[in-house]
Amino acid sequence: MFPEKKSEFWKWTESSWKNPEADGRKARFISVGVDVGSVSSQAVIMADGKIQAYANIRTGSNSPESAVRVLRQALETAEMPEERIDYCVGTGYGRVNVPFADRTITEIACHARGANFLYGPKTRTVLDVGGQDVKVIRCDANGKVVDFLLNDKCAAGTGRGMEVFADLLGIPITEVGYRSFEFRGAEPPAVSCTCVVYAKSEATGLLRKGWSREEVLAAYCKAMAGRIYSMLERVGIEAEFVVTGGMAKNRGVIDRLMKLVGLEKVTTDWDVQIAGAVGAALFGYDACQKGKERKSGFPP
Amino acid sequence: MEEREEVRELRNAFYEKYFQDLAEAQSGNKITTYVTGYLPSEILLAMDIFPFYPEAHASVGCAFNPAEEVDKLCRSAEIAGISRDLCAFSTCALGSMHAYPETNGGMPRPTFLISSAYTCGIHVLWWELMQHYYQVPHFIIDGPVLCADYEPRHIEFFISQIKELISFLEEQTKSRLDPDRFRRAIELSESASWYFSEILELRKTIPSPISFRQLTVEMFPIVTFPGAEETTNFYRALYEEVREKAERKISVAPREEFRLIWDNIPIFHDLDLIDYFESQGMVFVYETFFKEYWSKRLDPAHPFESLAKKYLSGWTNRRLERKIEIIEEAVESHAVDGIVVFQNKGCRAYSTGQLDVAMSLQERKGIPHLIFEGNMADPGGHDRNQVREMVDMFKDVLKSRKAGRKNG
Repeated sequence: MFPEKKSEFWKWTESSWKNPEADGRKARFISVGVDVGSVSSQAVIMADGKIQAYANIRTGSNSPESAVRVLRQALETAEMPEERIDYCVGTGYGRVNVPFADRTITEIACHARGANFLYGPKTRTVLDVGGQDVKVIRCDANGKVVDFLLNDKCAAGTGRGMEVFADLLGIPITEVGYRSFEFRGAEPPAVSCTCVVYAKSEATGLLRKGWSREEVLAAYCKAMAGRIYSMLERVGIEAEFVVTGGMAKNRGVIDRLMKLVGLEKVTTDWDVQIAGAVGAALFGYDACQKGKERKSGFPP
Repeated sequence: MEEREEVRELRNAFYEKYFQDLAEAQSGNKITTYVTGYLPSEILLAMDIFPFYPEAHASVGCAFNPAEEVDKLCRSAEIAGISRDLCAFSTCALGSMHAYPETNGGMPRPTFLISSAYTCGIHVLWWELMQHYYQVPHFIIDGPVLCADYEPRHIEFFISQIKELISFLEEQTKSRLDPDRFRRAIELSESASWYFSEILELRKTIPSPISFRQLTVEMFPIVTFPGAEETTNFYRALYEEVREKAERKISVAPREEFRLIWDNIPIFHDLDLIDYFESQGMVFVYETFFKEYWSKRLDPAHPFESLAKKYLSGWTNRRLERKIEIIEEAVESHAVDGIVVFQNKGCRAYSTGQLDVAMSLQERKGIPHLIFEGNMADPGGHDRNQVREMVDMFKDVLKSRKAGRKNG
């Protein structure tokens, strides 16, 4: 039932990317957005409002250090010196811990703006399922927030909850999405408990009854989708409805959620986990265009 | 603007009177009763009975003690078998009795107990528990739960309850309610309510001249001693000061960018949150808690009828449709930009129906809301930083809505 070798199933691979078509050396303004979350941190480098490069890492126990590390990773990927940065905006759960930011902006403002950029101006409802909170954001055609709802009191429905389950079931976090559909017969009912801790106990019981790991995973994904859907209903869903954050990569939850929402899934080629950092970088670009300058340099 | 000398003096005069009476009650030299939050204390003051409010005691304890101390009280209650999922005032007050038995948690021992059945479901049960502790008589004022506005039969019934209460008090104190003292208490209570109500009205001016935080602190006299001379004198002076501030356009915040409604009881262990809102340019100009309890008026010419109307129409005894009407009126009269819906796990009676009110306000008036959970008197689970982040997010919404209105 369980793998013989103990492994960190909750761990996902850190990544970075450079835009082969963008050349920051010719840019008038280089703006940076740094999004420090509870589980992951991203940094996006923009050259005149176009994504030059980004990095995505796990947030450690020290948020300021994570902010520095992710930015350095992004700069290295972009092959760009720190001195070239014209403006930096911090955001995320630990936004007050981005010590080198020239300005900090709320997560919802950055996610709305970022989703508008990544998915397009028809975006009206943004669901961001992060490491330990779930945000529903309603925005206008310019990516400005007009309403929001935040669940920050419970890990059920968040990335952290999924990590707990991945570890319990011995399934790598990167595989939980498609593996939750690999079972025979009808879709199992959702686990009944809303609390991750008790859902874990329930899952253990189901495994003992002979359920496969994939069936248990399906049951949990279904429960998560239902929980997220309740939040969406509270705020109201207006098309186009898009998803950002790490959970966007988990089709086990998202596909089940889209069935409940009843709208067509909107896709993008971008890694939507960077949405917050993208929005922050765009706000940074606005500041550059208004003539604002950096307040301080980066830590050594 | 500096606080007026007269306000300070009259506030001190009230607290001198209050603590003198409390000291006499604690030493057993004054007939004392515990009263639940909203019942005709005017009668008690007229009969020289000290009305002690465990709820006010709990709220003051939360406001003026560190969070660790408040948490200690809640844990003490839990150890005594009282769930933290119940009324947070009850856990704090009962917790203080168990945490500090040598001083009874700072509370005087009651001669008898009076509770009301029409404000919330916990009051009577909490008082029954205290009857078990203290082994003293317990009078319950019954009142109709209003599914509609009150009718003559509701008023008649409540008047009969008031008269039963008076009989009970006369029996317990072996004295009669003096009609002149009763009339005087009603007149004083009405005056205090008038001044308090007018202070709240002055917050229609832009900018608002008195803050939510100050009102939370200054409401103590009208809650505990409605019908005392010291209470009325204090609110007269406060009203005059606030009126001057309104005339001089003195604001409570460095800048008043957005005007808000607060729906629910204040968070007594984090009153700094109000300051944070104000530092971000968001000022509370209307609270259902103040407006719908302690600014209710009396008619000295019809004391029993007006007592009935006042005490039956508290916010938690209002039907949902009427709550929506009241808040919509407040949005217009106070030029409100948004509403903060504090989902108070420490008072389910108050929190019931809040989401319906908020959604209705959004649909019918386009007023955005911020919803967050917490507990008015239990700091457990209250993440100060996260709540303040949500305040920042709400400001984003308010700014977008304002920009949207400007652009048509």
